[in-house]
Amino acid sequence: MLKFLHSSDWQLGAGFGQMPGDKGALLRAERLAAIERIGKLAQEHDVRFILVAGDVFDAHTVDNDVVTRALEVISRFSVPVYAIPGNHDFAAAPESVYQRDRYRERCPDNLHLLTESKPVELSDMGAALLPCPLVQRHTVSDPTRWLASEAANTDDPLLRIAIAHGSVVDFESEEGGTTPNLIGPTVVEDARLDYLALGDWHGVRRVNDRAWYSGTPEPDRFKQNDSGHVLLVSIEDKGTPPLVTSIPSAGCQWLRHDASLHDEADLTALERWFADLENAQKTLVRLEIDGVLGMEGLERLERLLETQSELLLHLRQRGLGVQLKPLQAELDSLDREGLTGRVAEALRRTTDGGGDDAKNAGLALQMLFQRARRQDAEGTS
Amino acid sequence: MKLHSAKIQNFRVHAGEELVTIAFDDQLHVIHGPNESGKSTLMDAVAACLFEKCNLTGKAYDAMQPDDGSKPHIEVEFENAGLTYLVSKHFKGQAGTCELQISRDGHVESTHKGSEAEQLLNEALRLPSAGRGDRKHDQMAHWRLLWINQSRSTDLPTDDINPETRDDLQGLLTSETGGALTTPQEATWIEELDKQVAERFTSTGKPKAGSKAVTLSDEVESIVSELNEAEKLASSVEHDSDRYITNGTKLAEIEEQLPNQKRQLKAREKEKDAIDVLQQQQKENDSAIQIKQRDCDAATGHVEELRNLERAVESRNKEIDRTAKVVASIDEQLTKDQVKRGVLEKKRDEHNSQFTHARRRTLRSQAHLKALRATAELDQQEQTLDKATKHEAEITKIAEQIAVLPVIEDDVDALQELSSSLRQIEAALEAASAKIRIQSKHQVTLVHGNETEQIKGGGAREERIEQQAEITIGSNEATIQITPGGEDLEERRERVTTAKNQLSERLVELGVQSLDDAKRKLRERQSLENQLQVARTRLSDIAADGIGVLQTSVDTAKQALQSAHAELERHSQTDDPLLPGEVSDAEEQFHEQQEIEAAAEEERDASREGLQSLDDQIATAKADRRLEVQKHDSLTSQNDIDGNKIEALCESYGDKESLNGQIDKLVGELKALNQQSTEIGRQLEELQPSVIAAEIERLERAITTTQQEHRSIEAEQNRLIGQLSNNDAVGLNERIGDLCASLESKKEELAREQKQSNAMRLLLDTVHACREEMTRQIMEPLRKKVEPLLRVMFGGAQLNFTIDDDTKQLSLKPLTRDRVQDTFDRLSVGTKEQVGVAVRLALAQVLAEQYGGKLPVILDEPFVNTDPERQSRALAMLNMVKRDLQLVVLTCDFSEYRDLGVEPQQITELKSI
Repeated sequence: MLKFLHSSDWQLGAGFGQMPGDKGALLRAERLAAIERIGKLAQEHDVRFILVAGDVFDAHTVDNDVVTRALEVISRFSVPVYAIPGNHDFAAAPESVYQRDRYRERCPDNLHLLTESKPVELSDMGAALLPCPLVQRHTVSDPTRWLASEAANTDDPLLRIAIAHGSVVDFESEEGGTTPNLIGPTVVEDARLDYLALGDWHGVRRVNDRAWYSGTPEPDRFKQNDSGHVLLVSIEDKGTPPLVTSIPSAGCQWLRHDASLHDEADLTALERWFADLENAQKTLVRLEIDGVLGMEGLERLERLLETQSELLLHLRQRGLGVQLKPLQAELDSLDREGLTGRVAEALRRTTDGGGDDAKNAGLALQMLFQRARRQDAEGTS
Repeated sequence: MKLHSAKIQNFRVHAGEELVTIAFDDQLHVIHGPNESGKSTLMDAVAACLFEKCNLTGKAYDAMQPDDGSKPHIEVEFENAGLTYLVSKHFKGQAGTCELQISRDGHVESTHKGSEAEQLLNEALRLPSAGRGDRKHDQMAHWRLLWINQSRSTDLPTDDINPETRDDLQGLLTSETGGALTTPQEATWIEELDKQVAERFTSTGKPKAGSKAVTLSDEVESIVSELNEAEKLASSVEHDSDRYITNGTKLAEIEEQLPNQKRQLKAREKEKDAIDVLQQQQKENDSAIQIKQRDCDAATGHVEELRNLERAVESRNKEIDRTAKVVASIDEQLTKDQVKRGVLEKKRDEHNSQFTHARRRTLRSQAHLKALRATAELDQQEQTLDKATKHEAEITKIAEQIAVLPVIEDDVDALQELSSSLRQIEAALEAASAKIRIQSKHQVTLVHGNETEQIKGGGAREERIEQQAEITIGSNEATIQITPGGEDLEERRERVTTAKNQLSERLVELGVQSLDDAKRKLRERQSLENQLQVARTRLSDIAADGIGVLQTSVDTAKQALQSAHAELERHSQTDDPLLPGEVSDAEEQFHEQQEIEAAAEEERDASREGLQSLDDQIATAKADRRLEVQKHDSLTSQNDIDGNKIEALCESYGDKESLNGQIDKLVGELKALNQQSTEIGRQLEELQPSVIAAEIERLERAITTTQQEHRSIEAEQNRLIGQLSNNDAVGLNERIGDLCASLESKKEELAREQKQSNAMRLLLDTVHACREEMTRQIMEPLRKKVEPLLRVMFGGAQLNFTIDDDTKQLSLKPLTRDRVQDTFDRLSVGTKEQVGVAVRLALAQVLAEQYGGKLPVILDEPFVNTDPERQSRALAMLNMVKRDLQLVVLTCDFSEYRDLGVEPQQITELKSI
């Protein structure tokens, strides 16, 4: 029985431009940590090797420290790593990161970058690796095309394990045929493959019994596609379908949460949801909120969001946002006949209109209430 | 509050024993009196009693004292909030006294004195408490607003609102809106907000330079610019990389393609060599064919030439025979024609003679006819000449007769005029002379100058005396001195003499005796002239151009006759027939002869034509003969030449038979050569030389292009690899990521700031709008009071009030009339007065609420600057408010206020001793 780990799309050095401040740097560091975890998982599950199906690096222009650190981490792995270039780190690039002095100097013995479409026999393990590296960023020809003809000319008893990067089906668009690096869906049968380790899709995805996408080991977006795993592949014998197990490898969790806030109960529920989050410092939340709250409610919400932004790795707010609608009691607390009361009423009317004016009016109303409250507090003290 | 009454003693002009008593009307009270009668003084006295302290000193106190030094004493009774107040003040400087009696429903409730009385009075009048200030302005409080002195009617009314009044008004006005405009806390907060907004926005609402939003926006821009640069570099690296790879593929393709192209070229070149060999063979073959063909053509040409010459000789021989026959035939015909010509000549001569004869006879008849006509003409001309000669003799005779009668009509007219003139002059002389008549019973002798005359007894004598004369009667028995009375008598006599002389001279000149004689001679002359005219007319009828012409005509006729005779002589012969004597017969003969001549002429012409025709025929035959002879000779000569040629040809190339043998041989050889040529052509066609040439050319070009492309791509690859090995791109991925992150951060911050700023601005704008609205609402009661007054005054006008945020001072907004706005200080003096009074009345109405719904308003000559039309409107305005207020009007001219409908009070009526 052969056991190995299947991973892909490490995207080392990816920018995370949508993250404000230095959160991108944290996330980049987290990706490297995920690689370390893969090394540990390999040891833990006693696998023979690790396959990386493309996009080890996010670009050829990644910084040298990324290269040095990654190679350092891999060098500590107890098993060899077989990787192919993907569309982000394609082989033929003249500026290729793999041609860089830093890479050549630091590349450990256990890292094997397979840049040619020819079998690599691992006789001691009873397997032949069939790499389908991407030479160019985009290619219209199927990178696995050579496998079928190669299969016709060989009658090897070794397990045939192919590694490819591209789309088996057009995931992104409705119409097929427009996606580059498209892999033929019948390659597994045509090339008599025991396993096809696929990369490019960032979530775990089973194409068929013998063809799987491992997805990226560290999620990088709020897309809920089951990313953040490596696949443990066990092949009992040639011809036997592989046993594929998905093992979590992510350090950070990327969560989406929607909330419609209309009263205190809604607010309490949202507070509880945040309170229940484990490992908040390594959690990224995309919160989509809407609804209408009174002054008090809105202030409570703002306090909550402010705290959570500070606590979480990242809190991204989307959606219509919560509208301010002062409660009658809140309005009554102001001198209704006096200037403040009249201003509050005028702003409240504007908030009913919707649009930017309503938002401005809501904020202005908040300012007015805060001022009144401060004054009351001063008066009391 | 309303005034009931006032009693005034010893106040300025109202001094001595005089007591002035006023019982105020509840609504409208008008007091009138001349200037300096003390009207204003009365109300000053009432004001002093109500608003001045009794122990007043100084200038104000001095001013109220009368000249006699007596001390002012004033009593005022008024009603306020159900109570009646009777104030009595004695102004004596420090020793002044004040008493106040307060009653309700006619019952005295309390009496007070001194400062207590003053204090209670102040309270009743809602005046500031004592000690608050000693300026009159402050002391009178809002009463100053209602006490409109003559000199202040054009002042801005709101200037008369002091702090207490202002607070009162605000209290009254805001009672409906529920409170003050702005609390002090609100004011502080608004000020802060104002400051914050001013830090963020310019006055035009744009973000302010240096503000946080602008700084953030600049930072965002800077990051975007940096990011664009980085992305540009990334895109350039990506582009170069893709290009390098594509080029690599292309180079591989080219390197594969080039040897193939070269191989193809070599194969084509080999085929080209084979084609060259075949083409050379074909060229040689073609040359041999050309030579053989030329020889063959030459032999064939000779045979053809011989054949042609022989044919020509044979043909000419035939023609020679024919021409000989033609010449013989022509000669035979010519002989016949000569005989025929003799006959025709004879006939022609005969016809010529006949025509000449006929022609002479025609001319003879014609000459004879002319002679006969000339004879007749001559006779006629001679007769006419004879008549004319006779007429001419008669004319000569009459002319001679006329010549001896010189008198003409003008002469007679002149004589007539002279005679008539003489008669007129004589008549004038007669009129001027004295006419005397001497009648005597007895015979007497009269001696007149040298003449003596006697008058018989009973006779008488009349005489005309033209000049001074003396007539003696008898023997100097009596002498009569006569002096004619006419003037110019002498001159007249001379004129008579002159006229007579002129007449005589003219008569002598004309050779006549008298005027009648002259007239007679004139008549004779006129008769002769008529005869002369008749004779001349007759002559003119037959000889208009004169007798000479007639004579010439006669001569011409004679010549014509002679000429005719000569012609007749010339054409006559002895055997000619007789000539007729009459013209008509001669004409007939002439016409007959003309016809004979014409017939002869016709015959003669026919003979001539027949002969001419034959001559033409003969000439043609002779010409034909000449041509035929020439042709015959020429053909014979040509045959001789061709015979020589045939001989020469046979000698040079052999005869026809020999030549034909040569030709058959050459044709055989040509056939063989042509077959060879066809075979080579077929082989060449199979090899397609043009295709091969084109292909070689194409391949050479393609190889050159491919090599160039290869070089060019290699150069580009070198350039690209140079660019890509530049280390700028290392770390670019993270740099872009970091820039995006910074941008995201800054954008969020900017959005927050903008949101905050916009909200702040909206808040401030809303505050201002609400405050404006509140002010409007607060001022509504006042506006409601003033607008009806303005409507009456100006037929529609708007006037609003504002309250200053800081000073709380009430002020007027510009007055709007017909959409035109004017501030108070820009109004005319008259309008200021009218608006001022309206505003004061409105304010008084508002303030009246604190005084049981009524307040007195003193109007001292309030409309002194108002024109009559507005005056009546102003009175209507007063009528409108009199129920709510108590109006006291002081005026020097009651007529202006008559329309108010109240009974005025003369100031004198108020006074009592």
